[in-house]
Amino acid sequence: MSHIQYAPFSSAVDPGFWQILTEKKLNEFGLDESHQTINGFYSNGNAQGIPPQMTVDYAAFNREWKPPPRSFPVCGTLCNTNTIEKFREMDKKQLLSGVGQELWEDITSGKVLEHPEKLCRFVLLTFSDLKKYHYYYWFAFPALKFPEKSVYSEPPRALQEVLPPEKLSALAEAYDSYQSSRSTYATFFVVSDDGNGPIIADFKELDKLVSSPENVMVGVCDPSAVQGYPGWPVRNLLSFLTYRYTGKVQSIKVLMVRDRTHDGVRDFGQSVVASIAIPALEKEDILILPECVGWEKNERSKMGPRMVNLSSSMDPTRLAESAVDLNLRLMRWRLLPDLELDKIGSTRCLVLGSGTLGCNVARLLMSWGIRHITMVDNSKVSYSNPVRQTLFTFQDCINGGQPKAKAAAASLRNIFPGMQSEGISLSIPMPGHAITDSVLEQTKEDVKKLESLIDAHDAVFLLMDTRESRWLPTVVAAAKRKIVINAALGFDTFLVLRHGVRADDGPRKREGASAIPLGRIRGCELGCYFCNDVVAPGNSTRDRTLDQQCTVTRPGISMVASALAVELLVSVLQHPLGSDAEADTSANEDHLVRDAECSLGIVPHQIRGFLARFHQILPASRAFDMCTACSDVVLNKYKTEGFDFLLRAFNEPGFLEDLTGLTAMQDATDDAEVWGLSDDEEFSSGPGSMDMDT
Amino acid sequence: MAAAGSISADEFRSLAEKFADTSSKIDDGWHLEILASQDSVYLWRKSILPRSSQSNEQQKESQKDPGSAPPPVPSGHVVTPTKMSETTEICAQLDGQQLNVHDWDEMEMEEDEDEQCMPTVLLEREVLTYEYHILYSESYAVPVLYVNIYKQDGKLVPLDTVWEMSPSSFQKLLGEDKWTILTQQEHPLLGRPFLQLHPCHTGDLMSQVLKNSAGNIKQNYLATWLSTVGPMVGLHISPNYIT
Repeated sequence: MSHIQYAPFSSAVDPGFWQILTEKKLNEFGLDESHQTINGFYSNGNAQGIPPQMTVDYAAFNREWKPPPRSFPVCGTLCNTNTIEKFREMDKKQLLSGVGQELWEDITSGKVLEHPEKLCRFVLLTFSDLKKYHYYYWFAFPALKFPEKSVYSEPPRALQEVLPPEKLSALAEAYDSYQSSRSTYATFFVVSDDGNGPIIADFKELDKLVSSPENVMVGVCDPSAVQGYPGWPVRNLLSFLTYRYTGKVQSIKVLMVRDRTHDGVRDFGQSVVASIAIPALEKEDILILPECVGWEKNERSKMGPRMVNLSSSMDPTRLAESAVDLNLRLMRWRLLPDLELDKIGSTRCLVLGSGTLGCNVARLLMSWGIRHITMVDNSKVSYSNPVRQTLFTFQDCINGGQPKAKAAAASLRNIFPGMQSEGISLSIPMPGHAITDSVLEQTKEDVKKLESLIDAHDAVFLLMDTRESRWLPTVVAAAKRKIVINAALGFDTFLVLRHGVRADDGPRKREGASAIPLGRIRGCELGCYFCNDVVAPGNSTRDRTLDQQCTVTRPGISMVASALAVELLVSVLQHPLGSDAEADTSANEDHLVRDAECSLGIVPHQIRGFLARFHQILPASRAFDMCTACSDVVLNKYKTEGFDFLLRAFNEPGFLEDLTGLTAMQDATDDAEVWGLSDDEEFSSGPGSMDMDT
Repeated sequence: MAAAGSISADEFRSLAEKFADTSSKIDDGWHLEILASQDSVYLWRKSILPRSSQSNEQQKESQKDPGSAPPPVPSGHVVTPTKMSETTEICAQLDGQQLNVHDWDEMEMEEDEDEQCMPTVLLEREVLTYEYHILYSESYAVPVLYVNIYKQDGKLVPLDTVWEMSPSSFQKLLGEDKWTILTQQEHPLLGRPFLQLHPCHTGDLMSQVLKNSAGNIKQNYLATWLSTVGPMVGLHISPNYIT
């Protein structure tokens, strides 16, 4: 007859266990690696096909511990190492045989008789990488190779086949009343029947066996639900029974209680009864410490450890990320099923200027799920800044002030650790601010830096405090065909516009407006910030009084303009044509009612707001052939001559006007006529006339 | 007066107590947890199920009828792999990347086969623990079902996999409006992430149900509600709860 094989425990770790282990490691153990006593439990009510699980949960470390209702205790030894190397190098055999020796001593001293639950043990070796929330672990369920093998003297049978229904229910009743009379369920017990019905007694009454083995069964609550294979506690019980009764009895009847309930119907009859032979061993065979086995196989069926990565449910950063993500996706699922969140979120944004506009724009980009933001500025945070510039606090001002760009980038990461934000201190060279020889090399470097930044981003925000500082990034971004969103503030007025993005690298084609309805302009034909000007940018700060140089705007203006700037970018990204999306002019007011091609609505060219009247209009204008920033002649010069061209623009007054033909136009035209062409004085004078600030 | 379909906190408490009572009579695993500090009660239960039982009709049939259960084990071979298993295998692979293969091999032990241990291939490999919590929502005045499903190593099954695992009868509903039905939220009493069946439809649902029942309309409130929405997340309610 073949020998008995047992179903090993299968470890089950509740998420709460990893949580409490983490807390204990951080707050209590520190670097202490000494063994800890912990608690696990198993149930004997598993449905068929479920492996016999031994569970550790949130309560595993509790001193006053009781297993959950209808569960059975398993006494554990935790060995938590400080490093992965120690985890790897730990002598696993020695660790296990140490626990095996305790088990053997409990058996040989007879302590098991009083405390039979000591037969069920586990060892847990762990290493917790708390930075990554990676847990390495390995369970062992110690079993002694004693006896070497066991055989049935009577094969196992289901209780319902052995007992008639009334005896079966009498036994179940006796079992229930015995277990419920105790504070926790007993794993092992003794069943006897003197003809007047079953009596269940504590395990310590076991010696009755010797007097009348045929009327007695040893009861054990069996975690196994696998037919033909008793669970691990039965194996350890057999070690004890063999040691204690070898030579005294030939076989012992064992009742393995499998107490299933399904849909409210109890199935106690699936419990198993078997007689197991007790081998007659020589005296010397029971004196030596038997070998201890029981390391659990991993998911690859190898004798090896396991690893679980719980960062998605435990790492606060990951939790914040998924919550933010969920919030955005909610918008998609509930309102805009075709919202291109991935496209929006993966857009890399370069924010030039980290003042009130820069701070607000960055915050809103973050709200849209954009993670990659580079902040640029050349100044430091001053005491007047934090109340308006929403990424800064008082702390950023003291000790001379933090560099704005770095402080803003750090603040973004503070708000949301998932941000990939970088701050770069950089001065942007400007026309009308002559470059002396002493700063020539530095200027070259700065231009190069700006060029590589624009290269490395998908969208550029122009949010600086002067008009002329926007010239260089406008030229570079136009040459590289990047999306540019520009925002400028007056005291109670603002302008937000997107620059036209050329369809290709060639000269701008003037396609007739035939395909496009009147009053709408293709995105590639739209003008830039400088297109409405008949003067080149120059030094606008030279003759300004202090109140003109500082932020003198109604505070809400920055918020309004920043919000529109970010929403304009998102509308561009969402539009099927992207930056080539047509723009309406507000002269043609059907944009208020007609269906938009894009689920977020229309994509205007410019938004001009007038807070004194709480009014805004949406003009659109074509690119100007003689624009000092985006015309063919300027871009060609920049592409062919590079820095030499830029240097002349910085240094020589009138250079850009001469180059683009503005000078010639001005000479040929009486100024009064130019102004006379304007049809709306309120905004026709262009952005150059507005006070700008960030 | 409370809106049709809703219940008060006191009603929830007494319904929950009765529910736990019935459960203990039929050994159904529901427990009533009383948090004195927060003046709250909630019901909870853990169920252990083979990973594929939710999407495998065959398996479901055999569960329904334990009397005529097919020959047991090796169920590891019987269970057909599902999307779930692929997902978890990928997870396992990713998990394994942290130590290179060489390191893992090095840590494995050469040991003689333990002859008294059954061949582990005969055991169902992967089981999932379903942890259900039923809480009362003050703002919606209805009970709310929270569930976490995790593997044996304690790793939570992600939300989109739980959607995939829900029975086909719920798939259409989930496809249309899944975010309003099942999302990840913080457990309001334990502060841990849990999946939540959103309570916004519960009041409507229950007012429909209660309208059609006469007399002691609310005594079966929990069982009626759970038997309607529970199957979406693998929870089946015994008829014993209906009185």
